[in-house]
Amino acid sequence: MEDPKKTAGEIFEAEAENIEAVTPVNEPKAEAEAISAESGTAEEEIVSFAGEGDLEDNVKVISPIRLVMKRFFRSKLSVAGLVMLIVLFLFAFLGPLFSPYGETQATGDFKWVQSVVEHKITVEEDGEFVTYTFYEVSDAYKVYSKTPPSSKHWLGTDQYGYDVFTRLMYGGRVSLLLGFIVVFAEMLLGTMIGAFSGYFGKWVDQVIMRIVDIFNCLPSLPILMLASSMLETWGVPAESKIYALMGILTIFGWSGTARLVRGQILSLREQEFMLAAEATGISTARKVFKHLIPNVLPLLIVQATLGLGSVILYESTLSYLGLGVPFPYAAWGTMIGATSGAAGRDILENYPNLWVPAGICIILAVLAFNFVGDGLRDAFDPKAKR
Amino acid sequence: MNENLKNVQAETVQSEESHGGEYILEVEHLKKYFPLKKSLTGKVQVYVHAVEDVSFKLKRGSVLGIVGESGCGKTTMGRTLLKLYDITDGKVYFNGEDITHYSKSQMRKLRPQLQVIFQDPYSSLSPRMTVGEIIGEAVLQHKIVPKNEIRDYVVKVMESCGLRPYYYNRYPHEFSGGQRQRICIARAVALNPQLIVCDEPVSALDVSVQAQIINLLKNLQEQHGLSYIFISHDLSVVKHISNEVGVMYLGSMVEKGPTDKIFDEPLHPYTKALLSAVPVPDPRSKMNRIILKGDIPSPANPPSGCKFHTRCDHCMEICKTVSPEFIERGEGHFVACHLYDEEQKDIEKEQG
Amino acid sequence: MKFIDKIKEKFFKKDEHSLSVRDERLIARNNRRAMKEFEKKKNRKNVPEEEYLSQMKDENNIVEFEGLKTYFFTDVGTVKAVDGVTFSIPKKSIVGVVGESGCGKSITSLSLMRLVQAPQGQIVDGSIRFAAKDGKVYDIAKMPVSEVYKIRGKEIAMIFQEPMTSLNPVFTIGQQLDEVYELHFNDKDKKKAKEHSLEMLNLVGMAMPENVYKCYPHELSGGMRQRVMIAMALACDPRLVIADEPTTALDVTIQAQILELLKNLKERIDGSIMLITHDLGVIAEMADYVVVMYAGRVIEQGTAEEIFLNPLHPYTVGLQKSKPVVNKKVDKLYNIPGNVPNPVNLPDYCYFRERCDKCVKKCAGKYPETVWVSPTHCVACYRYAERH
Repeated sequence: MEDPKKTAGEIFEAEAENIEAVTPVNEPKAEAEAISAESGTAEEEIVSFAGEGDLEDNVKVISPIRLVMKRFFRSKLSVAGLVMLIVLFLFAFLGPLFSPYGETQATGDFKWVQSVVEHKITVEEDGEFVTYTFYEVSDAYKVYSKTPPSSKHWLGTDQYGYDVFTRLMYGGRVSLLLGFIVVFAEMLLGTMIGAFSGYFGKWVDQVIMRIVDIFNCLPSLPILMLASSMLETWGVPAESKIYALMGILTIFGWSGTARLVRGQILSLREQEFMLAAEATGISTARKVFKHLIPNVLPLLIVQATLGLGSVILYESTLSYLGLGVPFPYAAWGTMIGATSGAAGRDILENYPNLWVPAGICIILAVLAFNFVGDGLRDAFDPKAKR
Repeated sequence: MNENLKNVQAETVQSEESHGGEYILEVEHLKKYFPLKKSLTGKVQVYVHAVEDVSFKLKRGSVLGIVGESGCGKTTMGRTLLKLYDITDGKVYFNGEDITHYSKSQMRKLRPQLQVIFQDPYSSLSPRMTVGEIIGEAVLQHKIVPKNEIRDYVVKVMESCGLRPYYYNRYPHEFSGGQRQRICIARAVALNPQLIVCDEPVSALDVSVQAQIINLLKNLQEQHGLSYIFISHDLSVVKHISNEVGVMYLGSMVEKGPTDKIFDEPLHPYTKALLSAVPVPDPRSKMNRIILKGDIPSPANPPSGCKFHTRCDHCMEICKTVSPEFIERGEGHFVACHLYDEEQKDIEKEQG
Repeated sequence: MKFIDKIKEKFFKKDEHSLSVRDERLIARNNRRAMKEFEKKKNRKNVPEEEYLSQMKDENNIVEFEGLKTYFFTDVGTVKAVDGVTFSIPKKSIVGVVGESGCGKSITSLSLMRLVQAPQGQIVDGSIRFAAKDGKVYDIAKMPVSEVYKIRGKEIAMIFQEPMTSLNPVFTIGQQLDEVYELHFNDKDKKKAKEHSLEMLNLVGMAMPENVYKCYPHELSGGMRQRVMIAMALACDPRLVIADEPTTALDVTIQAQILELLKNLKERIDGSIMLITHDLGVIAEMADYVVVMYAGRVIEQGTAEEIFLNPLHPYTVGLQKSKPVVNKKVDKLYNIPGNVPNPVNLPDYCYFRERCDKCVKKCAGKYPETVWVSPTHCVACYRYAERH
C-alpha cells in the first residue's frame, strides 16, 4: 500500500485522460473518430462541429447577489424606502457637521433676567418687632423662550434655547445607532440560540423553546418601565443609561429571531444536502456554520431590517415616557416627550415645530425600514413571481 | 485502504472470522422501524416497518441493484446501512467489521469509505456553496490531500467526472440536473470510497443524460474497483448496471439473484408483474401486461402473511396467514413465495 | 483592499460566462417593452369574433399548431421556449410529444390552454387552430383572455404531472368534482352534480366511488389522485385531453394501470389525447403519432411506427439507443455527448450539430428546413434534404 495522499491525485490524473476517450463529454472533439457504424449510409464526409460553439454554455449567468439586487430594485416601493433611509442617515450623521449649533448649545432668543427674592426678617428690638426687608438680587442670567421657525433656526428653538433642527439630527443619530446595535445583538444572540436549538433538537430544543416561550409571554413594556425606574433609583448616570437601554431591548428581542432560525434550521436539517454532509463525515461545527447558517442568512437580513423599525418605535416610546435617552441628550422620542407634563400643553398647542418634526422622522424611518425589508424578502425569495 | 480505516480497525474488536474476505458489505436481518404514533406516556404504539429483515452480501467490486416501487423501503435501507439512520435491529458488516454499534466519531472516520449519491441533484447540493467548496470540503476534513494541493486535486476529480475546471467557483443553481448529478458524483468519488450507495442517481435526469451518468458510474467503477448498491425503480437501468438484483416489496426482499436469472426467469409474481409493467419503446410489442390490482398497502399496517397477497394473482389460502421464507431456489437465486413450496403445491393439488 | 477586491469579484464577477451590467440593463429594457405590448394586446375587451375565427387546413384535425412561438422574457435574455412549432392533432387519436426537459413540450401545451406564465411568457407569433364543438374554428393564440374561458376546461382539459399539488387540500374530492360540474354545465342541482361526479369516479375505475367522494386528497394514494384528476378532466366531456407527464410521478405498476385507463377513456370520450412525456416507452405504448422536440423546435414527427422503427434524426436515434431496455443486453450504453442547450440566444444553425456524430458539411449552414420523407413523416436535418 502506497501513500494514499499521492495515489489519490494520480488515479484521477490517469482517469481524466481515460474518460475523455470513453465519454467525450468534456472534449467532444475526440468524437470525430468515434463515428458509429450506421453513419456509413451517408456518402458524404462526416464533419464534427463538436466543441466549437457550446450551446449549453451560451447562457450567461448572473451572480446570485446581483440577481437579488435586480429583483430588489425592480420594486418602486423598496427603492423609495432605500432612498428615504439614505436621506435620513445623511441627515443624522453628516448633518451636524454643517450645523452651526451644537446639540446642547443654547442659541435661541433670551432675555437677561435677574431674580429678586424678598426676604423679610422680623427682629425684636427693644421690645418692639421691627421688620427688615432684604432684596436678594441674583447675577443676571439668560432665560430662553420657545421660538417659532425662523431663518436662523429653521425649526425654531425649544424652551432651553436649543436649536430643534440640530437636535433632530442628533436625535436621529441616537435612534438609528441604537436600533442598529440592538438589532445586531438580537440577531447574533437569536441565531446562536436558535441554531443550537434547531440543530440538536430533542431535550435541548425543548428547554430552549420553553425559555423562548417565557420571554414571549412577558409583557415587555411594563418590564422595560420597571427596569428603567430601577436604573434611576440605583443612580445609573445619564450617559450610561443608554447602554443599559440597549441591553434591555436586546434581552427582550432575541426570542423572535431564535424561534425563526430554529424553525428554518429544522426544515433545512431534513434537506438532502445535510444528509450528504453527514454522509461525507463533515464535523458538526462546519455543518452548522457552513451549511445551515448561510441558508438562513437571507431570512435574517429581512428579519433584521423589519426589526430595526420596531426597535426605533420602542426606543421612542421609552424616551417619550422619560425612561429612555435622558435629557440633555436628544432623541426623537424625548423630543416628542416634551409635550407631556405641566409645560407640555403649551408646547402641544402652540409650538408644533418642537414635536411634529420628530414624529415625522420616526414615521419615515419605520416606514422606510419596512419597505426595504419587504423588498428584500421578495428579492431573496426565488419563487416570488413578479 | 487508507490510514483512517486502519485506525478504526485497530480500535474495534475483531469480529467473527466468517465476515470480510471477498465480501465488502454484509447485511444480516436489517430492520428499521420509524415510530408513527405515541401514546400520552410517550410509549410508541405504532411503527412504520420501513425495512423488515433484509439480508444480503455484496462482493467487492460488484454491483447490487435494488428495485422496488416507492414506499418499499429501498431508500431507507440504503440510508440505514450507511448508519445515516439508526439501525433498529440486525447487523451490518463493512470489510468484515461490525459497524452496527459504531459511535458517531468512529463513523465519521469511516465515512470516506462509504459514500452515497442521492436522487435529487437539486436538494442535495447546498445552494450557498461553490462547486469547489462542495467537492473539496470533505477532502479537507479528512485530510485526503494536503491543504495547498486541494484545488488541483478537486479540479482533477471534476475533470474525471466530466465537469469543466472553470465550474470551480460557480454555484449549483447555474447548472442543469445532469451537471449537478456529476457534482454529486465528484463529491463522493473525491473521498476515494470503496462502496457507493447510489440512491436513484438517474431518476431525476433526462434520457440522454441518464446514459451519460450510467456510463460515468460504470467507468469509475472499473477504474477504482468500486462496489455499488444501486437503488432504482427503473428496471432497465438496474439490469444494465448490476451483477445481482434484489427486489423489494413493503420493506422486505422478495427475490434476489444474479441479474440474468431475475430478468429471464423471474420467480416471484411481483417481479413478474414489475417486469411486464415496464413500457418498451417499440410500438409493435403491445405485450401482455400483468396489471396489478390496487395500490401498495401502507407500511404502517402491512397485510398478514405474505405482504403481497392482496395484489397477487396466484394468491393461495396459506399466503394470507403464513409469511413465506426467503429460500434459495436456484444457484444464488432466493425467493420468498409459497408458490415454490413443494409441500404446499401438493396440498393445493389434493384440494383441487 | 483585499476585502474590497473580493466584494468586487462577487458583485461584478466579470468573466466570459457572466452577464455584464450593460447587457443586463439592455435586456431589462427590451423585456419591459415587449411584455407591456403583449399584455395590452391580450387584455383587450370587445374584440370582434372575426379576428380570431379561422379555418382548419385539414377537416380531420382537431388542433393545428402553425409556427407557434412562445417566448419568455427573462433576466438573462429572451428564452425561446417554443420557436416555430408546427404539427397537428388528428381527431380520435393520441399524439405523443416527446423531448427532454426544457425542450418546450410543456410550454406548447400550456400555450394551447393559454396558461403560460404571464407577463414573462407570451405567445409571440403563430396560430393554434382549434375546432370547437359548435363547428367554429378558433385561433386560440389570437383570442383575448376573456374569450378563452369558453374553450379552456370545457373543450380542452388538462391532467398534470403532480396530482397532489393540483388538487385543493381543504376540499373533499366530491366537492371539487361537483364544482367542475356546476361550473361547466351551469347547473346548480346538487343531486345531479353528485350523481355525475360518482359516475365519473366510476368511469376512472375507482373501486368505491362513494367513499372516495367523501375523501380529502391527502387520504388517497398517488395513483388514486391521478385517477381523480382524470375524472375531473373528463367531467365536462372534453374533445381534447392534454396529459402532461401523467405517469412520471407514479410507480411502474401504477403507471401501467393509468396508461390502460387513458387508452380506454380515449375510446369513451371519442376525442383526442395530447400525451406529453419524456419516456419513450410510454409513447411507444400509447401514441399513434409522435412529435419529437428539441430546444423549442420540432425536429421529427411521424406515426409511432415511423419514429420507432425508422428514426431519421440523429437525436431521435440517439435517444432510443441511450435508453437501456429490459429485454436487450448491451455492454456499453450509447450516450449523446453534451447537454441540452438552453434556449437563450440560440444561433441560426442546427442546435444539435455539436452533439451530433453524423454531421455533414452542409450542417455548417442555417437551421435546416423541414423535409417530408413520407406523407406523415418529416424531419429537420440536412442529411435528408437532398434525397427527397
